[in-house]
Parts: sequence; C-alpha cells; structure tokens
Amino acid sequence: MKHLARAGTILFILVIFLFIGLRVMPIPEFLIEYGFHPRQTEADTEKWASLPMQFASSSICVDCHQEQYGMWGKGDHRTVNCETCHGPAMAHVETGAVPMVDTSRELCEVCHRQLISRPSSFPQVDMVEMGGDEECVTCHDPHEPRAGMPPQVPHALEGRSECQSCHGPHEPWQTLPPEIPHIMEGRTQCLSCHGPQEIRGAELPQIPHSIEERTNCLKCHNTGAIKPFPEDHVGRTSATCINCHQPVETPVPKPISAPITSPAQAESPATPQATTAPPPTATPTVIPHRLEGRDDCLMCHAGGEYAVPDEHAGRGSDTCLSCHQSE
Amino acid sequence: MKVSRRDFIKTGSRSLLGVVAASSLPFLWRGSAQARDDTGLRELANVGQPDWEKHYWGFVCDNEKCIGCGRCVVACKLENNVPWEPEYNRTWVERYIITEDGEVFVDSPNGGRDGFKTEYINQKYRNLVIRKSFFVPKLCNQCDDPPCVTVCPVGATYLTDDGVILIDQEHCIGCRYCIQACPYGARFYLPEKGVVDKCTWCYHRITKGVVPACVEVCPVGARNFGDLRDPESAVNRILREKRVYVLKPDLGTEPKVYYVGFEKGVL
Repeated sequence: MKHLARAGTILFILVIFLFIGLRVMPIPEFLIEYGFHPRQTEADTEKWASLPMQFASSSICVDCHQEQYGMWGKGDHRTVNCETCHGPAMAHVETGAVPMVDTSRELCEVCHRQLISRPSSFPQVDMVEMGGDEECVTCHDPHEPRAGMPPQVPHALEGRSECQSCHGPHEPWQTLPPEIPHIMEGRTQCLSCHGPQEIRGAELPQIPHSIEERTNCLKCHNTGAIKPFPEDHVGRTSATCINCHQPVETPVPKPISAPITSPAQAESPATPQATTAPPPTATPTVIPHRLEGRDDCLMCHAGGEYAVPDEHAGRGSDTCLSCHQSE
Repeated sequence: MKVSRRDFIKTGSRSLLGVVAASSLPFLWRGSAQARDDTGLRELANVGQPDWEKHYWGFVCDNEKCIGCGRCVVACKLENNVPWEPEYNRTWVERYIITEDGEVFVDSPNGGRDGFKTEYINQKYRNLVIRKSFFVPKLCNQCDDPPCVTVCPVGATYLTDDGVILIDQEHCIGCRYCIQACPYGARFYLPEKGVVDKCTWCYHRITKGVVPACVEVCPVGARNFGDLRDPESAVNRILREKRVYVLKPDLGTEPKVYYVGFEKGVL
C-alpha cells in the first residue's frame, strides 16, 4: 500500500499546484480587462468626439443678439437658455439658417400647464382659464414674461367705476371690450393691478427686501407663516405677488449685527445699534460657515453668543436659508 | 504494439498534465511582458495626451427641480439623430405617482417627448388618491463597473478614460445582450443600423468644452454636468452641498449619475 500512498501524495500536490497555485499567481491584466476582447478603442473614441454639434449655447447667441440677451438676463426666463425654446442653433450660426421660433400655446404649455407633479413653487397656469385660445406671446414677452404685466387700462377712467359691467368674464375673446383672462376670486379692485402707474404705486405696499433667490413668497407669507398675507388675498399664488408688489429699488445694506460676526468682533462690547432691530430692507447676513451636516440652525443659534436677533422670534430652522446664504 | 492498461493511464495522465502546465507558461510570460509594456506606454502617454483624458465626467439630476417639460428628450433626439419615434430614447423623463396607500405608479408617455398632460393621469390612474407626484429624468448612468461592458461578447462597448461608456458601432453585432444586462434600461436597438445605441453624454460636445444638449436646454437646472476632478465644477458643488443618491446602489454598478431628492420606490 506504500506505493498507493506515494502516488496519492504526488497527485495531491499536483492538484494543489495546478488548481490553486496557478490561480493565486497574478492573472495578467490583458486577460480580464473589459472582457475577452481587448481592443484598441482610441479610433472609435475619436469618432464619437468628432460628431457635429446641433445645439450651440447661449453664450454664442449673445455675440449678435445683444438686445434680446439684455431683456432675457433680467426676466424670469433667465434660467431658460435660448435654444430651449428656439431649438438647435448651430446651423443658424454656421450658415445663417433661421432657427425655429415657435410661438404656439403648446410650447408654453409644456412647462407652464398646471400639473400635480410639478414643484409647487414653479409658475403654472390653468391653460383653459388663462388667455382663451390666444397665443401667450400676445401679452407676455417670452424674453421677459412679466414685463408690462398686468396690462394697464388703455382708456380714460372718468365715469367708469364698474370694470366688470363691460369686461365680463364670459365675453368671447377678441371682441371688444376684452374679457378678463383670469379667475376673479379674491380680486375685487381691478385698478390696484390694471390702473395707471401712479395709482398702483401709491396704493400697494412694496416688498421691503430683495427677491433674488426667493421664488416662493408663500414660504414666509402664507397663513400661519412669519408674515401672513392679508385675508382678502386667499387663493393667490406666489406667481401673482410681484404682479402688484414690487421690491424696493435699492435695498439698504444691513449693519452687521452681533450674533453673526467673527470671534474677534464678537468679543468687543456690542454697540447699541447692533441690538436695535435692523430695518427690514436690509440685505441678509451671509452665513460665515459651511452647512454640511447642519440641518437644524436653531440647535446653535437659538440662544447664547450666536443667537438669532429678537425680531426673528417665531421663525423655524426651515426658513433661515430663504434669506441667509452660505458663502 | 500492445500497451497495458496501466501504462496507458500512466503515460496518458503524465502527458496531459504536462500539456496543461506547459500551455499556461506562454500566457504567464505574455501577461507580465504586457504589464511592463503598459506602464511604459502610460508614462509616455501622459506627456502629450488630448484634454479629455484629464477629465472624469459626472452628472447630477435634481428631482426636486424637474418640471417634466421634456425639452431634454427633444434636444437629445435632435442633437444625436435619435429616431423621433417614442420607442427610441437616449434620455427620457419618468413621472412618479405615489398614492396614499403607498403604491408607486410610473409612466412616461412617449418618453416625455411631448411633455406631460394632466388628462393622462386621469385616464390611466383615474381613482387614485395621490399623496405626491414628481418627475425623474433618466439617462445612461455611465457606471464605473458596467454590466453592459462585461457581457458584450465582441468587446464592442467600452469605458473611456474620461468615464463615458461608448459603443463601437462598427464592431457591435446587434446581439442585444447589453440591453438585457443594463439594469437602468438605458440601451436600445436601432433596427435600421442593426446596432445598439445609448447616451454618450454628448461625447462630441463635452470633449469640446460644452455641456450635453439636455443640460443646455433644461430650463430649471434640473440637469447638471461637470468634471468630477475639478473641485469647482457644477457637479462637485452640488455633490458637496446636497444629499445625493444613485439608482440601484445595491447592484454595485457605481453609477456616475447622481440624484438629488430621494424617494422610496424610485428605481
């Protein structure tokens, strides 16, 4: 039986070597890299990279269309690039071919039709109520959609006090006098929106702060929020606020108040000015630290050295970032 | 000549073992030689390489911003000559509807090409009590560990050095194995060419320093593109500031399309 034991040992060692030893040795890269067919791919990569472009970019459009670019830059559509509505413009840049100018309601509709799935802060309209069958661009300049909106009364007002005795909500569109293209709920004073500029300016409170980066007015001004809207404004959305209320032209810079200063400044005694409420027109202080991992502002800023100012009482952590931006 | 059974087995097994052992030697030798060559080549290549090897691209979709207008789908079709028919999409937009019962419904009429219409919800999901609804833009995730590349029997699809998966359509045999392998449904078959096609992140645009067409036309900034190696790129800023997630992380595909706005049930 000795020779059997010897043969078994030799066989055992061979098996170990063949099936484990060889496997443990490093497998050459070329055998496993991207499967079993390693190939030179540079030529194909370059082929993909050399395909022609159809869409240029807004930065190219501005070279010629300065006027439209200027309007677009200050309007609400400034986040919408030229080719989103006008279509691919590379052919126009290269050969002068005229790009698509689609003025149909259907194009506006793809973004602004009311949909439950859209973010609530995004401006959406009832496409049946708004404007009848008329093209949206009849009233709205697509480059600056709120410019000239709402339209002013184009006739004298003497002796005419009841707007709706002529402008009924059910008159067919495009007959005179024109019908009212929006819902009437909560809107009784036509002239506070459609009156001459001097009436509007005198009657309506201005927005005492900048509206940069603040698109959802109702975040702070909803019922039960920090500064609720008046009761007769029920039913109005963020989209309509700035039709009537405009932000003040030049916001007064806010004096840096004690709570959010550098440690060196914080050590010096607070001046009386710092403890008084800063005017509401102020620019909000910049958050001097990073925000990663800090969700609950009031965990640190509820009291103590870095407490929020007194007039911020009642505001929750979820509202801080609506005004204060991180650096 | 007469050979005994014992001798036959002895000689046979010896020569078999010898052949197996010997045949592995040239592989080992070639492998180590190739490894040496490769390092030498790579060192040389670093001197005058084109720009696109220095980048590593990434993409962020913001579900909280997407309005489902479908401009990205249209732009993609125009930019990349994708057939206009709704079955062929390199990118598409899905609408998620979550009911009060916690049921999840997804639809994407025509891939979102024509936008979404309210009536469509009403027809298809007439009696649902909707808790919430939102849009999710979809495209190729350009995985770092791509199953599509692994399964391709002819090696026609590959991961470039700047992190994009491309298809060599001259080598593709149209077997559609990769379509089955992709867990994100990002690939489709082009019948007239007989090959598979997919999103390339507009490779011809990004290598020229322009963003992909879908990012260019997105009106709300729901699609963001940038260089993961540039700390100040649009994508890296979002990755630093927001909580992001990837689709199907448990598959280990390491996608490079990140999503802001996580919701249970989004696949």
